[in-house]
Amino acid sequence: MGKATVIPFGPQHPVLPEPLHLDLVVEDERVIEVIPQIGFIHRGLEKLVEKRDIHQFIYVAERICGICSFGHSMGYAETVEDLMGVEVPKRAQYLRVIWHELSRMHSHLLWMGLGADAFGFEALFMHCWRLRERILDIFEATTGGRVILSVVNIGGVNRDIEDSELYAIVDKLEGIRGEYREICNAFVNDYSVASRLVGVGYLSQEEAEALCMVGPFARASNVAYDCRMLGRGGYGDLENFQPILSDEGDCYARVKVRAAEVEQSIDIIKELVSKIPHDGIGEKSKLTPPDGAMASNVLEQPRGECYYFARGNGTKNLDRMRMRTPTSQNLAGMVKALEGCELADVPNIILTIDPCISCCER
Amino acid sequence: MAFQSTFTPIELGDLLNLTRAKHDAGYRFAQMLCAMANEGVDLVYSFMKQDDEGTWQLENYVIAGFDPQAQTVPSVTGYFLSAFPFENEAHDLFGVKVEGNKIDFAGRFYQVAMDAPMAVISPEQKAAREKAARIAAAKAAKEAKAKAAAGEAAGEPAKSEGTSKPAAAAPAPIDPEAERAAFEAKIAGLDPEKAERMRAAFEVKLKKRMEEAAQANATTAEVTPAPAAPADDIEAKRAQMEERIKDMDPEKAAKVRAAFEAKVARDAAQKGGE
Repeated sequence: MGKATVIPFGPQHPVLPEPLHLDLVVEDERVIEVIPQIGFIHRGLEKLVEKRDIHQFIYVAERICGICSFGHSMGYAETVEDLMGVEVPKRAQYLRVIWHELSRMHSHLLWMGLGADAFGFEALFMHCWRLRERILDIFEATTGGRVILSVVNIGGVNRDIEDSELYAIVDKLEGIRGEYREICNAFVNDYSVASRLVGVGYLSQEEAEALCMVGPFARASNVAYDCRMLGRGGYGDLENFQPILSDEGDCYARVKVRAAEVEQSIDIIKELVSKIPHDGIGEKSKLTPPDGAMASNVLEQPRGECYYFARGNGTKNLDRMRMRTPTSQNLAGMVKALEGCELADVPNIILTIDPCISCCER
Repeated sequence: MAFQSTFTPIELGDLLNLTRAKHDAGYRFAQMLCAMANEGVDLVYSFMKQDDEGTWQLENYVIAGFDPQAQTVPSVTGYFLSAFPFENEAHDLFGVKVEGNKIDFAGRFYQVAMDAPMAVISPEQKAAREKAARIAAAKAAKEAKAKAAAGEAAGEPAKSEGTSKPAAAAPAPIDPEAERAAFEAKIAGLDPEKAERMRAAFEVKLKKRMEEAAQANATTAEVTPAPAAPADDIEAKRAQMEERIKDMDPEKAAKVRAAFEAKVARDAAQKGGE
């Protein structure tokens, strides 16, 4: 047995999309302990809720993260609507879900590209990001923005999508599906990918449950939990939603779960477009959150369950807004998965939890 | 499948027993958060599980009025390791002391420039809370009044002695500094440009009120009959008006000035007619 050495990993590292610092305690090439550290980009956005009123804060909420920005505005709006007892028209709920599922697709494609880059498959990275651009084009056509969409308001959405446009989106997604399967083929059938990921960063179902993990990371360890199955908002009208699971628990399983979720998102959008009602898109609520009222809510972001908490104080500003993001919940799981791995596998394991440190710190 | 979220108050001493019970019953630890209250910090612990009827229960337990200076909260990482980021966050951002955290960063989890930045009650939040308290008090008073009126209508004597407004009491003395401070707190969260405009309007109003109060005090103290109404002292009035409109929008100020001159001319004509 060799001498224990501490290797600092990050916050600036070629494989990390965002600043995360890890102290890796290694013996020879094996990691025996991991100490994570975050806090490099804390922006105090939760505190800002005291200065911005409930409607202005939507624009702050969606700037928490550049990837799941739509999800944050949707989760925030749903929580404040719960707080004030606002009814949202079905069409607005469906539109929110459609945009949210498109966000999931572009987030997963982004992650798959980064993952491919991390295990040294640069052509695959480029193909994933090429396809992701097509999703961003749909955002641009329907909302005017590619990343920050600003279409949600408390009470509904700001913009409608014409039915003809919705059918055109479904056609476009069917086209994307064909190209996506070709890319996916490289992820799930290529021996070089499998040789880097199979058996790496294994986490059993018991461990994942004990560590309260969420998102594709947990579902790859066969934990059947996906907030979409709670049936909130537009998700309640899906015929038969089943979370995508894998019982292999390694990095390869996490890739497979995310790869399948992209196609699942296309199916959800297709189903909702086929039965979208015409009861209006709602309008900005004029209510004020009651003093002392509290509401909590969960939403399935691309990286997993995000918890929202809001407390009113009787004025147009909230007293407290809290977003517990999936990455902060998965940090314990990441530490566990890293223990005992080879040093060369560290980047792949970190990336397969799809860390979003901006979300985590806010 | 349905979803339900509930809030239940608990005592600090019950936290570990509750966490153990939730752990043994197969709940998932969803999160822990802190929120500044009027006194101390409120701690919220959330657990989630699907019940026998298939409903997903998000149970939030609230420890109200925790005093970060005097009290210490036991760590729940013994049961749920995934709580370690939240407990470190509570320490670094709110100054909540956590005892027994399994992965304790001792204040170095978040790299922030000051200790417990979220524990500061900002002027905006203070103003918002005061406003909410005022609204609640006004609402309660209105309800009480309506109740009293209803009681009176039903033939019962209204019990409002002592709370009734003193009708012709002398105006209370005005403390300009206190009023200015209260006003500053009220406008703290506003856009600076708007705040500046409001401040100018406030100063004019305050000055006017102080003049009125001084006048009223003089009349009550000296029992002078109606002020000497210096009808001919047009110059003094003009100076007063100019003082009042000096911070106004120039266009509006011009209108006020024109109206004043017209009034002066009208008065003069009336006087001439008499």
